[in-house]
Amino acid sequence: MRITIKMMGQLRSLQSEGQSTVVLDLSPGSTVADAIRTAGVPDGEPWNASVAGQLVYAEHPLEEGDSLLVFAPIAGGCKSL
Amino acid sequence: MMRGFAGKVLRVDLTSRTIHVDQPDEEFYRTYLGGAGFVSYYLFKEVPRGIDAFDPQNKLIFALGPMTGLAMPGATRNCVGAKSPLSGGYSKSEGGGFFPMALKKAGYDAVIVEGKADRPVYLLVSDQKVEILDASHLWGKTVLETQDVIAAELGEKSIRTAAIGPAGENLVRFACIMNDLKDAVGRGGLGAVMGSKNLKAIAASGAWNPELADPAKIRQLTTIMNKGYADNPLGFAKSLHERGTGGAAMMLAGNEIGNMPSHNFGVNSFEGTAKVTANAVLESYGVGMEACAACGVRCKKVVEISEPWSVNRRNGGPEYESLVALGPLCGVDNLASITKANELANLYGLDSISLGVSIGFGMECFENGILTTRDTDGIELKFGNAEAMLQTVEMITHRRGVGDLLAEGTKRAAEKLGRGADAFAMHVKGLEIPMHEPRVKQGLGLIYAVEAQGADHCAGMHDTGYTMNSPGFEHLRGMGATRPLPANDLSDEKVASQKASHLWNLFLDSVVCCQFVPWSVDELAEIVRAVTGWSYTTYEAVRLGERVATLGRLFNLREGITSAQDNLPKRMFGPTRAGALKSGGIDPEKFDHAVRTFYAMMGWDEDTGVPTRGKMLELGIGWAVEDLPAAPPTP
Repeated sequence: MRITIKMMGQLRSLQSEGQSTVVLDLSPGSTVADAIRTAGVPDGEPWNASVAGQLVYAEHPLEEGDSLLVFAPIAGGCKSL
Repeated sequence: MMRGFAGKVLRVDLTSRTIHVDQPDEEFYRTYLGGAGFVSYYLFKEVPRGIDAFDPQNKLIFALGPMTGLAMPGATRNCVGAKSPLSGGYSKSEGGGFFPMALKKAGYDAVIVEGKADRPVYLLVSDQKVEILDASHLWGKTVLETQDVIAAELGEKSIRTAAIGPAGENLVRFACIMNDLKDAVGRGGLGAVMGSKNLKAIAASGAWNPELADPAKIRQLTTIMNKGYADNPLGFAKSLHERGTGGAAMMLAGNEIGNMPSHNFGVNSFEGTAKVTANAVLESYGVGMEACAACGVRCKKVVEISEPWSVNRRNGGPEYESLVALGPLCGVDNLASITKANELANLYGLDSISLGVSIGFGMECFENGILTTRDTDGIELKFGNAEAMLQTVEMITHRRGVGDLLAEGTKRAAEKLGRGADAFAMHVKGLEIPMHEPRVKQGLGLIYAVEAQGADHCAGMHDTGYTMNSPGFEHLRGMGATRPLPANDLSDEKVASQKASHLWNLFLDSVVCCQFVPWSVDELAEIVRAVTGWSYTTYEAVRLGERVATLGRLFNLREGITSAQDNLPKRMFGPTRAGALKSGGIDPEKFDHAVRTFYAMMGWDEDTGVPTRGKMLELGIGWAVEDLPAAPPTP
């Protein structure tokens, strides 16, 4: 199952090589938490995520082709987009 | 001898031109602490029932706290309160800058302004003298001009002012008080109350310092915060240090999830969001960042523009609330015009939130034919018209044409217009809704509804920040929060967490401490102990929050503001026209249940929201029991 994951703000620096968008190949039934862990965000790091404009949470099951947006729960004006 | 405080409350009666100093006992300070605690006490105790907000009997209270004046991050703030000309009820607001430190160094813990001067005056409060001085030459001047003239004529470099601009003089109901030049005591129309008293400014200076119980502890905590704020997991100070509020990542993510109020909350994403972020501001017009006194977080943007509109770097740059209220909420993506409107709000003394929402209201009325070009002096007051937005700021400030209507705030303007305009009035109890979408942050929406002063984004937990276990949520657990829950959850557990956050915020407003500096409740209790020598605990902090909230509610009940006003505009219970929220809004039954649950958790009657006698006695405000309504108020 392929999904796209986009990191914003300070979370972007946690992703491999600081890329804003990567494509992940995940096993069917993977959740939002699985995807974010796979993308390099360490356990315990807080995040928010959305799919198609709706906030989703850790156990939300992902589907083929989903675009996952991940961003800091609270942020001011950090330098990273 | 009491430590940490001056032990003096200055009373100035502008009608009789008399000055008096109260010396409350230490029990009073321990019970109400300062800031919001003082404001809630004095408003309920001393403002007569049923007066108009512009009646000379209204009281304008400038209150400091045990932290004010210390050379610590987040410590230079004050709280101001009065009966609000927007809501007709309880109102308080906080601001930073340098003025609060100067007032503390003048040797007072609060200034209570009563009566009305027969001509414009300003008040000098120093550690040497208190004087009521003529301000006829200042009337009509901007905040910047006012500060410069006062500083020149008093000849003191250390002088700091809290002033109103023309908006406060003209009784614009959402006029604010500006600490120095760019730090607004923004909400509730307190600048209009100041204007109604013919009080142009308070100028403060001094060199007095309180005796501290444990100055070494204060120094130690200051060093820890100054060195460690960037990595402190409780807050987001590092990003604030870089760009202030309104960062592109946060705003663009908000745009994705429906948390970008635009077109007067009718659409909750905005095509031009990327053009109006803090990053865009600093890249286009930024010349640096600034701080309030003694604060290393340094979260304030400094901007300068030469054309098409000039913006003076002394007047400050736009924060998130201003960027959105004067931008997307009005459908405007012209960053220069938003930055200029923000400068005008600071120069004229206008709350940029209520200003933007009032203009957005006017735009929606115009687009629906309730206002026409005959009402607007020919201005096409449509969403997206940046020039019209700027022109309306001027018209509101000077109460010209349609500006005279919008200067009343959305609630009164809608009542005057009729013809269904109330559907476009985005307020709670008359206070316009801030730029945090209650359909996304539904627990914060609950706090908007039940908070005594109306929709206040600094009074509760921003739900999107607390959806999973984190150091920030762990901190709130210490105040009674339950467990992380989805942003749109309105369960009993969410209500308990919101209550905990609400009380935490009211404690902060009493200390008085900035929310952007990541002090924990344990550290703040430690600071109170180190300042005063008391054995102050977090339990007392929670109780203080309850005391402030309950006195605010009692003030409103006495004014006839009942549980019926603990609600959100109808728009929030339905979908937006487009964007992430087009599938629906807040469930009204769940919301009503959450309101009742909040009352019950606060020790207020579940049906009426009236504080119970037992809760009042527990909070040490049994003296107010005789003011409880004889019969349950009719919602």
